[in-house]
Amino acid sequence: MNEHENDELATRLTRTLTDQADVMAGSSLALATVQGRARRIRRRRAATAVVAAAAAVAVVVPTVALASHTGGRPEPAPATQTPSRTLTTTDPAQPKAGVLDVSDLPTGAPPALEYLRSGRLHFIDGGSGTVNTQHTPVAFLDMYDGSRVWQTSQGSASYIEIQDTDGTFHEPVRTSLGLRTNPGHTIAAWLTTSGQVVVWEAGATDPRPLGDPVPGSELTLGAVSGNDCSLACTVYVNTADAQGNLQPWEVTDSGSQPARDGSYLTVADVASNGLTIGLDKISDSGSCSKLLGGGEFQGFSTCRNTLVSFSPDGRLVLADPAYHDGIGNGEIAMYRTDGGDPLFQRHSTESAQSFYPEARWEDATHVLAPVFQDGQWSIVRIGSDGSMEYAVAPVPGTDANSPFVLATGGTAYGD
Amino acid sequence: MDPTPEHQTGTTAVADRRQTRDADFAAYLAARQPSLLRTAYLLTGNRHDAEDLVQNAFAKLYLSWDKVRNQGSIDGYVRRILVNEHNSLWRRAWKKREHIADDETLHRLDRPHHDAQHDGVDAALWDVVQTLPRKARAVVVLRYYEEMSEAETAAVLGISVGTVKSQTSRALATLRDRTPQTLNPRSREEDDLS
Repeated sequence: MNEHENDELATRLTRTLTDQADVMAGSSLALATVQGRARRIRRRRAATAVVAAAAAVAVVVPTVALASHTGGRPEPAPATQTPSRTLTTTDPAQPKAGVLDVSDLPTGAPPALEYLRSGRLHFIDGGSGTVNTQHTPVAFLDMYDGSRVWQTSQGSASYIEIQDTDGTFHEPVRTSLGLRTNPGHTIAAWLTTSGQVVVWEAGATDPRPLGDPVPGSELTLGAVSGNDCSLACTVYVNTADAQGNLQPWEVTDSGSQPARDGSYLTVADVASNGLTIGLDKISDSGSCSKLLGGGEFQGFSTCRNTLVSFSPDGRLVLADPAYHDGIGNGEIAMYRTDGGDPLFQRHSTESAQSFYPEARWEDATHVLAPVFQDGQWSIVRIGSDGSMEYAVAPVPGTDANSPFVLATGGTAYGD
Repeated sequence: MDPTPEHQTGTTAVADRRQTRDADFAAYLAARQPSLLRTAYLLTGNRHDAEDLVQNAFAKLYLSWDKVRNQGSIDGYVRRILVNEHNSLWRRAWKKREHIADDETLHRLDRPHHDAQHDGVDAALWDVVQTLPRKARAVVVLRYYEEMSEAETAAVLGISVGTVKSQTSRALATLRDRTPQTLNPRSREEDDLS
């Protein structure tokens, strides 16, 4: 396609869109109408805040607290461990309970999870190095054997670049956006632009297709379960058609089919023991997520938050807002997998306007999140008791571009 | 207790500040809403959803007005809310439920009058634009209606410039493949040969 042809279509497109947009001539919104909508939004936020504050005061945390965090990888706390700290958070160095205010936190150990900062890879030991991918890195994940899978971009194309344990790279392969791994970090999965799931297993010579291409126009990777695709693994792909119908698909070596178990609208994560979380309802004011029970675990559902991911040992669930309004996540919470007890919730407020694009599990009881507030980005460590500290101190930035990219999939189960 | 003069002065000052704030916001609302309503229509494809989307975006701007105004980034902020709200999975699903019954009627009513010279091709092009995935449609609207650069589009959508390029390229290819032959050079060549 030459430049002239592109220009011709672009010109026609601009004219068509301008013509169509004239439909809105004469429409107008009154200040009172906007103020009324603003009041409803404020009430919804306030209701969420009350729930968060109530949960913060009431809940006792059965896990390791931030105070004992050393930046290493503590053993997962047994579920029956004696509660070590309540969530009243009276520590003067901590912001008010329930509030996601990261403007002034104590500084803790560096992240125990690799991360990119402005294109440079920072290691767990505090060192850093250049990234030698052929194209610009945008995401990566650490496999259990020390190899890495990079998602990179060059111009309009996205690629996967596999880096072996000795540092050498495979030839880049084309992909669409999205990279996922299983809890044990033995399988990396991605999607081609035609909806084909491709998997690479640590130690394998080459990536290979899994199942059949998944139909639909808006595909995103949900989760990967299993440890060895030559035996059994499943990759969940969330689909949405042009009418907004949501349906997860499960892709295995045997083929690809709609995932019917649990009646999920989307699958968010699958724990190493097979428990699954995902969306099951959507409403005007938000959504409901659920965890299907199984074995010794009692399932639960919540409409306070969206359930996002399991901790590496599967005992806790990370959650973000039930209503995603697109600005970024202004709320973070954790639940116990067994029974769904809320451990803490923190949310942004009018005076602490913070948000984070994503959070990753650092160990069994802590997550790391790049958080933006007051013109600065920091990586914040948040414990299962709701306490917070800087893992990387704030640096100036704009809300549109986080300088930090945390390793996809967080820490491997078994680390 | 009756308010003291100091209390009255303080209350009056707060009321004055609120009035000034609302006047500033109202002025911005009046100035910018026509443009945002047009963009919203191109994103949603119907008048009702466009008004609802813009109302939500302005309501959120109203709640953050002081801070956003002080940062001097009002246009970018409200446009980012608008586009991201539209792309939101949540909003998409509940809007579908709410309007599934009257979409067809609205769609018919919304069709503008076309210049006879361009009718047909332009209408077909618009039909295809509306079938694009939401994020691709947002890229097309920002690039070819708002005439934003790739970098500006990437900033509004919170994605990389590379993604903007690839989405644009795919969207143009789709539009070219699915619209009448006058926009598809390959078809024109085939016609010439026949």
